[in-house]
Formats: sequence, structure tokens, C-alpha cells
Amino acid sequence: MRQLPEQTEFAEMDAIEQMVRESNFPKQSMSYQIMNQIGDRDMTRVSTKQKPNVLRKTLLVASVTAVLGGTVIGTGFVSPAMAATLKQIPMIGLLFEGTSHEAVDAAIQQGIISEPNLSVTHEGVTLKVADLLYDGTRLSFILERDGVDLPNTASPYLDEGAKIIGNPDSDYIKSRQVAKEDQMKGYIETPKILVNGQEVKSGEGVFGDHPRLENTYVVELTKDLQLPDQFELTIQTRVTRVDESFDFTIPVSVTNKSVVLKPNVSKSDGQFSYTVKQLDMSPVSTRLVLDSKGAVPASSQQKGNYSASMVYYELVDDQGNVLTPRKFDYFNSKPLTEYHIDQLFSPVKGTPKSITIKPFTLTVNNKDWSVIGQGENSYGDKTYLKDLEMTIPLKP
Amino acid sequence: MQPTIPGEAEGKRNAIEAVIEQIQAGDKQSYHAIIIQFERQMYTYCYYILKNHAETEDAVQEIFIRAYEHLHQYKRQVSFSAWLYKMAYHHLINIKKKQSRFLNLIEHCKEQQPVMQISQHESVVYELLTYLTAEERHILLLKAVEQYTFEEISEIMGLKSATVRKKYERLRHKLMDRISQKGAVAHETVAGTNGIR
Repeated sequence: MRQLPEQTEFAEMDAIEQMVRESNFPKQSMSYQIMNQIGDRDMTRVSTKQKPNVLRKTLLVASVTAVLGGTVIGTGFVSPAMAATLKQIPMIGLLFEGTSHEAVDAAIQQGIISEPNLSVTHEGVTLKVADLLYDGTRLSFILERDGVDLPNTASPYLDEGAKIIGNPDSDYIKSRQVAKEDQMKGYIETPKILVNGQEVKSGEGVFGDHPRLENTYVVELTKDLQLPDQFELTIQTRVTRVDESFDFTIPVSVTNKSVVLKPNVSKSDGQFSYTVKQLDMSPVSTRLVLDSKGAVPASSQQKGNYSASMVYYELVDDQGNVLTPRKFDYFNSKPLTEYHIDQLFSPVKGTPKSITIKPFTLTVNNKDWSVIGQGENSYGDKTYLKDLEMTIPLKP
Repeated sequence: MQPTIPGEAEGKRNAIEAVIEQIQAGDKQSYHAIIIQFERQMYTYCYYILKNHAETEDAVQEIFIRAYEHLHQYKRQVSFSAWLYKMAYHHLINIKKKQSRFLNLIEHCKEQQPVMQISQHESVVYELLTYLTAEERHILLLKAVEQYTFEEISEIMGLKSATVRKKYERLRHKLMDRISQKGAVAHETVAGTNGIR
């Protein structure tokens, strides 16, 4: 070797590189977590006013829903302890932005939030449906696991039918393709959710570990959820290395779950028009569904190097309170001429007499799609489209 | 590591590109397979730059989400892999930029923390990386984790391919000097660790 120092050096470098490559960090796959977060995103640019830990927060928001949630019902009973807890949780502001104690009380009374506390035990593993929330717009619940000493609840193993690209023989893939009998006991597999015996179809959902609580698994279904006010909810979950399925049947009955308006009112400025299909208000959220058509109106500033973004919608009650959107998307592209909007906002305070929809656009730099005025506390400078404003009266 | 079967890399690349097309066409769930394919090496890359597991976890998630959000911009000029790592590279640079403002504070805190338990590989790699500049670290790590060519690294880092090659030569000499200075001990560590696998 001594005669060939160069070659030795190369071998040495190879060894170093190999060492880097094979650094074996004891890491669970984050793929499910990432997919959950991608869940309700489009291939668009999401607000960049994110702080370092924003992803955790995002996940947290999603899961707090479930923590608080419980629609349960059975009896529609919420223990005083839970009611007290709900009010104390400081995160409540985070989740139900603008929600008052009264609203939470109302949610509990209406059966929107409840705690079924149903548990099933098989082979030493206990799963409990702790909390359930259903307000007509989202269905979420939390499963608590007991009798298992594993850091995570969600199964890291790949399903048999999972699609694999690349080298199926790689160590990594192999480590996740484990025969049922060789898996660690006690991981929760993705639950099957049935309503009146039919599997639920939902546009978006979150499944997985609760980011802050140990031994808890969260499910949240949102968007395009079409469920009646009363139904029988069945949750079927399998746990690794446990033969029997963990099945829960919970009658859900929500009264006045939300005020649902189907105004079907349109507004047009000749070029651009939109029709409000639905406006739902529950103690935990407000949902706006509308269709728009036509080219986005541009202001005098929105020309040359700048252009108008897609049309966004702001909801304001009769007291001037602006509802906060649950998410705000930015797009690196010219707006389309047709949109179907289905968006969640914070709940209304009290019982407003009307809700005003204020369409607006942002001003976008054509070069890099950056938004004028966007910053820490601003989605960007809004250009309100006054001609397109619409007020929807709410009957008391 | 893995013996290279002729055509294997090409086949894999095509398979990935095919999946990307599916995702671009709206099959969101297929992105899961992409994450599984890349997350482990991505973690390694980010970890050796950030040197902190919590931050690495955040960074890896952010990178995959960003990549997803920008996927409609991806066109098959470079490989998807290089495109993904380009995003990762810029993300890491940004994080480091932000961090440098707080660097003094962080360094101070670190002193008071108990020494983290790290694997043998990690400690050796770790030590070697301390002799390199930030740029050299990226070059070495990119070459190591995904076995990129100089052309691919130049694409990712926005440098000329010849420049990357030169810089790689320089960092190689640096590391070799270090190893010979430290003599047999370091040498054995390297060889020994290598042998364990």
C-alpha cells in the first residue's frame, strides 16, 4: 500500500463517505407525519410567515382538535371534569381562535364535543376512545393506548400493498416490511371508520401520533365530509401482533350542530362572479363554500410587473370582527378562472345578525410570485373588491 | 455498499420520475413512497449540518413539504433527487444563516448540556467535519449520502463542476493531513468503524 499513497487516500475517502452514508440514526420514519401535514395542502406556496417550529405547531393545531374533541355521545354526556379541563387548556385559543367559554359550553351541550370513554382490551392491550368531536364539518377522535411500552402509537410498518419505488431490497425498506408475526406488539394500524356501516369518504384526514401526549393516536377527518346529524360511528382498529380487531360503536347525535345556510346568492361585477353555496357556523368553526368564475379584476397598481392574485374571501360579522382563516394559501402561478372554495374559519362570536363576505386580492410580483406587504403579521396588502362584497343576513 | 447492477440506477431513476409524474397529476398519496425513498439519507445530510436531532427532524419535514408544494415547478431537466437536494441545500443554508445570529447564545448553552451519546460512526464523522468549511461539508456530505457526481453537486450548489472537483480535492487533502497527523489512532478508528458494519 505504501507505494500507492494516492490510491490509499481514495480508499480512505471512500471509507469516510461510506461512514457518513451508513450513519445509522435510530429514527422512526417520519413519512406518515409528513403526509399528514401535507394532507390539506395543495402544490402551492404556503404562507412563509412561518416561524422555525411552525410545522410542529401546525400538527399541534390539528391534533388539539382531536384532544378537545369528542363527540360522543352515547349519552351526550360530558363530565364536569372534562368541561373544566376544556376551559383551562390554554391551547384552546390556538385551536378555536376566538372561541369563548360560552361557545365551548354550547359545543358540549349540543353534543359536538364529548368523551365516550369506551375501551376494548385484547391480549393485554387496551384502546380507549377518549374524546370525540363532530360539528358537521370535521370528525375527530383520540385513541388512548394502555398496556404497551413503545414510544409511538402509529405502526411504522409498511402495509402489504404499499407501493415501493427504488430498491425494494434496501435495508431501510426491508426494516419496514416486517412479517406480521415478527412485528413489535402494540402499534396501532390505520383505523377503518364507518358511518352507519359505510366506510367514510373524506377529502382530507389526519392519522397518527399525538405530537405531545404519549400513547395517544389522533384521527381527524375534514373536508367533503357528508354525514347526517345522527349516525352510528364504528371505529375498527387493528393492533400489531394482536389477533382480534378493536371495534368501537358509538352513537353520535348532534343537535343544532351548526347553522347551515345555503344562500345560493351570486355577486358579479360583469367580469368576475361568485356564488355562495354554503355557510356553516358551529361553536368550533365557520365554513364557507363557494364557486367563482371569471378573470380576477385587477386594480391600477396590479399591472406591469405586478398582477392580482386569486380572489380570497374575508368574513366579517356585524360587529366588525374578522374571522381568522384556518390556513392561507399562496400560489406561484397566475390565478385560474374558476375556483371551488371550501374553507374553514374561526367560529363566530355570539349570534351575529349578519356575515359580510369581503373578496380581496393580493398584489403579486410577476417575477418571483412574492406578495407585496406580506410579513410577520400580514398575509399581504389587500385590495378589497368593494363591488363584490355581499352581506348574508342570519336569522336569530 | 450495494453492488451496482448495470442499469439499476437508471431504472430506479425512471421509476422515481414516473411516480413524480403521477403526483403532479394529482395522486397525492404516491408522495409517501418518495418520502420513504429519500428520508433516511436526507436525515443524515441534515443532521451532519445541523448537529441537532430536533432541528434535523423539523428541517427534514420542512424540506419534504416544501418540495411537495413546489412539485408543479419540477421539470425533468435534472434528476428529481438532485432537485430535492437542491431545495434541502438552500433550506439548510437559510437555517444556518438564521442560527448564526444566535450562535453565541447557543454555543454557550451547549457547554452546559451533557454530552450526547453518539454512535461510533457519528463521532468520527463529526470530528472530521469540524476541520472543514461549511461549503466543504456540503460537498462531502452530498457526495457521501447520495453518491452524487461532481456534476450533480455543482447543479445542487450552483457552482461550476470543475470548482466542485477542485474543492473536493482540497477537502480530501485536508482530511488526509488530519488523519496522518493524528497517526495510527485516527487511522484505526476509521478502519475499525468501517469494518464493523
